Amino acid sequence: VNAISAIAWVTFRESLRQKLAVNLLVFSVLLILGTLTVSELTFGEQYRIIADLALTAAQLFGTLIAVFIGAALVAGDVQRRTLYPVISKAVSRTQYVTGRYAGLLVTLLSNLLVMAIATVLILAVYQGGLAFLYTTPLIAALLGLAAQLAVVGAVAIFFSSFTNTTLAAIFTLSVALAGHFNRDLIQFWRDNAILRVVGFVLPNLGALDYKVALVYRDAVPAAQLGWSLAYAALYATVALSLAAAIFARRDLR
Amino acid sequence: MLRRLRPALAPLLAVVLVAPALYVTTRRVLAGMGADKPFDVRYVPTGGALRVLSEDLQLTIANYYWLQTVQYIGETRGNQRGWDRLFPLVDLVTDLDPRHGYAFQTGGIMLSTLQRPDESDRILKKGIERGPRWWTFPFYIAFNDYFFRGDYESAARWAELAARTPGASTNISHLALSMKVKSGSPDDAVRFVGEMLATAKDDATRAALEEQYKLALLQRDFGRLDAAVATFKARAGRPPRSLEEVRGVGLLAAIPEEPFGGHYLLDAEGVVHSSARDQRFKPAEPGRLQAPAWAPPQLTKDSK
Repeated sequence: VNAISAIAWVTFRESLRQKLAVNLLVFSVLLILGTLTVSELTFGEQYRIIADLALTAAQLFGTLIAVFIGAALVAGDVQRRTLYPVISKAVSRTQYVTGRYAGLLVTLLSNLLVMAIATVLILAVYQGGLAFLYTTPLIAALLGLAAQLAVVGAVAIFFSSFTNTTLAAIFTLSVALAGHFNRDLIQFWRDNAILRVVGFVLPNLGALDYKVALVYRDAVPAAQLGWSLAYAALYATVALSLAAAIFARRDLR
Repeated sequence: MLRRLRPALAPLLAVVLVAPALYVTTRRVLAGMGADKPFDVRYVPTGGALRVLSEDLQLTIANYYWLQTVQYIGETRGNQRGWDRLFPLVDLVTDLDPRHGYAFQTGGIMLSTLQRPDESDRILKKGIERGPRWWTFPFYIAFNDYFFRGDYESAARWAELAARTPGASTNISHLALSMKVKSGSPDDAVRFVGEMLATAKDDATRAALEEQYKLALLQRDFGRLDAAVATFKARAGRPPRSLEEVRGVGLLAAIPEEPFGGHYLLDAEGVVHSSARDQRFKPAEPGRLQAPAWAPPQLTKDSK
């Protein structure tokens, strides 16, 4: 555990120094704060524009940060050969992959916290108070978003464990995008066993997205949220386990 | 100081020389992009093409196109551009986000105001089938039937449906009943639109309904003036020379104020016209108004 937490801490500190990730975070916060102005473009129901745009900005930039940091973690270490001193010590490759993912997760959740504060701030300004924290499922939507980022981060680590940074980023982005399509595709592919399996293998990110509920102020049942978070945790565990398995057998010479 | 600036002189000179050419080119590029033309939406995808997206992405795209729709409606040169994209835009937004009741309502009212009652009906009926349960959807269909088609029977059915929907204004049932028992009159139209105006929630809807309210007042005034002129003809055996003459013999208490800011006048045949907006709904048969025969000049692309 000490090795994993040490690697996680290093990963978190490294990510804070990454200019791309910091810039993405700054842009996302600016976009979230700008939703109040954008919402002036509509008449009536400004709330729906603010809630949707703010959460979409957090989702988009959070996903991009997960992809670009996650894809570069393992693959980048292999390419730069900075991996060797680490795994030559008493650190297993599984511990290394787990530590890298834990650090990525802390980074993503920290970024999400900043974006969540900006979202709460802008909604508080628009609504004139914090009552929306009780009357809308904002907390559930943010938890769902955190779960989405955790899944995307795990997928990025998975691809990063056997390919280079560029390809890992491309593959992860493709999977993240497909994750928003696949609910209906599973229905379309009902009669085709192979394609149905593909539908189940892809992460169902739509199931972790509570934007519609937030916009329409629908209550999110605790059980539903619980199942979604459990799904994300299990999916990330499987992706990470596969990454560790592949990386453990990878010839790094 | 000058020595320190010397390395920057050549690039600054280049900026000064290139800037005018850049300005001219920018104007050309913007003109090519149609930036000097009224706001328009070049392409509106169909809702079916985006159905594979998750519900949340559909919502975001719907909100994007909703903002486009608002800009499209709000374009002050809209009549110059035409309104052909309004129905596809509202149709797309409501396909992607069927719970967006405001889009159904605003789309229905705007299309009605633009004298496209069939498209307005399609959006509003879609709202009744797939949207939230808003009493205003059947209410505005009733208006279209009443105002544009003169179909009181159908209007009464829709008004009844509106009256039965939870949250409906208490006056709606009265209107439904009124339409059912009466053959209809311009006074009813004024009251009907006045009722809708009272329920408007935003400036855009209110502006659209105010326009319709003025049209209703115009029809009411035409009806009253026509009746007075007909009585004058029957009594004098000739058409009156002016509305003042009709008023002078006591057939009119006063010449009403023209709602669009113009005035009422008589032609040589003794027919009443408006100097500002000469637009009439002529009854095709007693108790029933015909569909408007006029082509709204401001809705054609070539007209100003």
